[in-house]
Amino acid sequence: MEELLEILNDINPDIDYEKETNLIDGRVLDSLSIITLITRICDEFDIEIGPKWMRNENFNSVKAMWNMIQAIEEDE
Amino acid sequence: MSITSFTFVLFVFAVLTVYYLIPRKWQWTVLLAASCVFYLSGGKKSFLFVLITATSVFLAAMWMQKLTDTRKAWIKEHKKEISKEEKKAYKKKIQRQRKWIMIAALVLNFGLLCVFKYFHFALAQVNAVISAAGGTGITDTFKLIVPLGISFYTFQATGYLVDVYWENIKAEKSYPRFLLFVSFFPQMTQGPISDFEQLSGELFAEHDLLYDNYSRGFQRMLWGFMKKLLLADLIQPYVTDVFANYSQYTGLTVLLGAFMYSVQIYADFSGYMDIMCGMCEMFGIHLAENFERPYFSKSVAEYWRRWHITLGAWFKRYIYYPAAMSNWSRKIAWASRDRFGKFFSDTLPATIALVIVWFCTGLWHGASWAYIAWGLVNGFFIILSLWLEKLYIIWKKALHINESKWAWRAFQTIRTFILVTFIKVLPEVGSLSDGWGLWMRIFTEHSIPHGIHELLPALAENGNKNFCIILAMILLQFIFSLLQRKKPVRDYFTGIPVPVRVTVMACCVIVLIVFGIPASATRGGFMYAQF
Amino acid sequence: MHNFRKVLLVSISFLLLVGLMSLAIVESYIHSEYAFDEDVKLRRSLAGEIDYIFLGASHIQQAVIPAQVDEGLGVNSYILADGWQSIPLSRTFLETELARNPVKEVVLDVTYDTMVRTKETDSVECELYALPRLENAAQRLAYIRETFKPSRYRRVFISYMQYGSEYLINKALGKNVRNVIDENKGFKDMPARNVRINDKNIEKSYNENAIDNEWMSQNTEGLAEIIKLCKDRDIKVTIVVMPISQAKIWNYDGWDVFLGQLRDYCAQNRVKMVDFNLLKERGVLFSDETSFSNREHLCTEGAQIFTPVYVQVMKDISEGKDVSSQFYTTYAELKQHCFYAEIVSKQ
Repeated sequence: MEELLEILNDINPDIDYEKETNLIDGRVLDSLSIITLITRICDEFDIEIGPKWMRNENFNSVKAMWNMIQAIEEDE
Repeated sequence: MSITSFTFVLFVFAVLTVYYLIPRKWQWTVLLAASCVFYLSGGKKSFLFVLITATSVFLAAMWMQKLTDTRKAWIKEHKKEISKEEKKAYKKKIQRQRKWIMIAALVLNFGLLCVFKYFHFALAQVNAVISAAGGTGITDTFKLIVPLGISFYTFQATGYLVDVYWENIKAEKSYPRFLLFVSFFPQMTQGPISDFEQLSGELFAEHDLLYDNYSRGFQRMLWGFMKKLLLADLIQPYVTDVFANYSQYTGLTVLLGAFMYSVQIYADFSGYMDIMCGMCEMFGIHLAENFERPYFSKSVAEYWRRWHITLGAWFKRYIYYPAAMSNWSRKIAWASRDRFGKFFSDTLPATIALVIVWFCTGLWHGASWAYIAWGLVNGFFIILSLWLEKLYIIWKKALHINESKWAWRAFQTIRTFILVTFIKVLPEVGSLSDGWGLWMRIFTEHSIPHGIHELLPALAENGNKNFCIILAMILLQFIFSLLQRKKPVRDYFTGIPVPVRVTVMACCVIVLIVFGIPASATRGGFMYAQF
Repeated sequence: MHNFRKVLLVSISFLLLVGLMSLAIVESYIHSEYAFDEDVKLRRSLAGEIDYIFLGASHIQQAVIPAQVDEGLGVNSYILADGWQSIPLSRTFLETELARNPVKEVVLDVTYDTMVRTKETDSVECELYALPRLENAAQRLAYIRETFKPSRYRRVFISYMQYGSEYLINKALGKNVRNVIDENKGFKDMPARNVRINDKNIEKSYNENAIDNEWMSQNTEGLAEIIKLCKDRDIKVTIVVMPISQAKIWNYDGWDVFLGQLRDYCAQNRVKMVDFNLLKERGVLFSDETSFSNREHLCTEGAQIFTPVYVQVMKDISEGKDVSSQFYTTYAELKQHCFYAEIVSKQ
């Protein structure tokens, strides 16, 4: 979880990730940030986030992202 | 069948009547029949290509789904016996098969699209190369009639195909239902491009005739007709006149003509959307929105999130994200990080993806260098703002600009509108050199027009009454846009008693008949239907 | 649960409202600038007195002034003609008047496109005044049945709406909208317009276009039936061609083919023909700048100049005089002597 938060804060430190639950739908993170985020997550956690995981609900909050990462790791 | 014809209105109400009289679970079949009738009325041969697309994508998706199901079942069955490597290898094998099925279907359908849309353009380029090398080009004797709406239904169908490949959705098992999804007549000619999950939920649900849906839908449909017939069509002669004769008019006249083009295309395209969305609402079906007050955008990037929203979403989902996060993209980012820093390596993949997206967007809009240039110019401004993001923050701080202040936001909006108008106009005048010529005319010809007829040369021929209607419609649209920021305009009407509403709408219909129906056949036709 | 009742109720009220508003506009058009129903009333009041009828389309409607014709020829004339009037409609109007008037002479106006027109190519305008100008419901129903196609109902309705609302708007703006034909016994007042060809365009516009010379049998037969109808009642029939602007003649080719066809037709049907375009003194009488309302129609000023000339020529003919010396024999000859030819030769 900490590594994930570190990545997020590195991309945009002004957001309160603990509270924010509408990161994508509310356009809190722009598309460039999303791309950077995904590539960093893939590198950091050594996983492949396939297109089937790229749904808004998987990235709207830190918790959702963490759940997704664990699900992918389990799947592999 | 022309959308802005009495025949179409009769058709809609005939379909509506049948739709609400038959048992609810068969309502979608009425829509399918209506779609077939609608499309066949335009041309029997074109319908064949719709069937080819629908059938090929349906079969490919079913096949891929079967492989997915087989894979899941096999893994479940052999979960205890196999090793992790075996599981991975098996998954990879299945995935490769699925990939080739998808590629085959994509090649077929995009191939058809490219042949119809780009054959002449491609041939012209080949001929250019041949003649540059000293030979004689191939004569272009083929007459290809582009099937109506091919760009839209191909994108919608292939989006579904890729979603099935990505396992976002399960393949549709019923061919008639899938055919309806591909050929749903309100979307056929100009979109919106819907995704399967959202649209199928609407199409196949059971719908009650609710007065609210009926009246709100009809109000929106009426407004769409007004936008198209009383604004887009009436302003068209002014635009055509300026585009044809820009080299003889003053810079100010040409600039005004360019702004009128912005108004025209918005009224035309969003008017069509209103007609279709309003009509679908009467059926209890909610289509995706394609416009959200685009001329109120504060940047080019924002503009493209508010104009032709579903096309932008399609490109983002199926081209931009896959390109930006592909392996080679990540490799480039890694390779450049050490040498050029984090910001560069983060922004470079996005930039490359944007160039691809905007090249394709330009090409989608037209088979010419002018449209490709148009796409790349749009991309340029978006990419520019990405790279200069940090610089802008420094500038704004230095100039003490308060972003929340009304004046700054107004400045951004006006600046964006002017910029977007200039870009928009580039491929519409004629060839690329014509577009450039028009730009130059605006910047270099500084004389002040003497009087209203020099400012608006087409006014004399088109009459003051029509011009008054144009102004009234622009004012109305502007007011509606301002109102829409809080809630849909129709919500403001709910307080007004029904007899008053009905009377006002009856008056609107009278105005439509009197001013909106052309005396001659030179007006008409939707601008985006050629795509 | 379907809300059928409310939906139906509101929809029907809406349609009724639109229908009523449309009816109001169409009704006002019928009583508007052309006052078609006034024309019907006037003709009824003149029943038993009319002995001279002009029959045709807009050319003759704007070219001769009945009051002056009456004075000059000692007749009581009426113009049964309007824009785009078709041959079948002309026949209906004529039959109505023949039934109640001691008509002695009928003058048929033939233009370069009288025999060429069909219902498919015609504009919808001739339908607009037809219905109000017909005598009774039976005639109207017959007219609708014979000449309308369902696709034209829509166009006719829209035209009524557009002309009607234009009339109402102009009235609201205080503009003068009367273009009375009833008081003038069918004559239509039109303002002058300068239709002269610009000097720099004269050479290139020579014979730039061509008139359609393909005569339709439905028209030639229809007109022949009108001629027979008159002759069976011992009514004198003359075919006339009204003067159009020199600009139009200069710009188009094919006039002599038309002239030849018309001469043959008149010979076949044994009627006299006078083509007033070929008047030798037209260069002195009419100017493209002041005598016409557009390239094909005389304006009121032009009609005031033309009518005495018409009267004199018709008088001479009825007295057995030879008027051929007053006319050119071909359009080619006319073109050689016309105003534009002079300018070209000077250049």
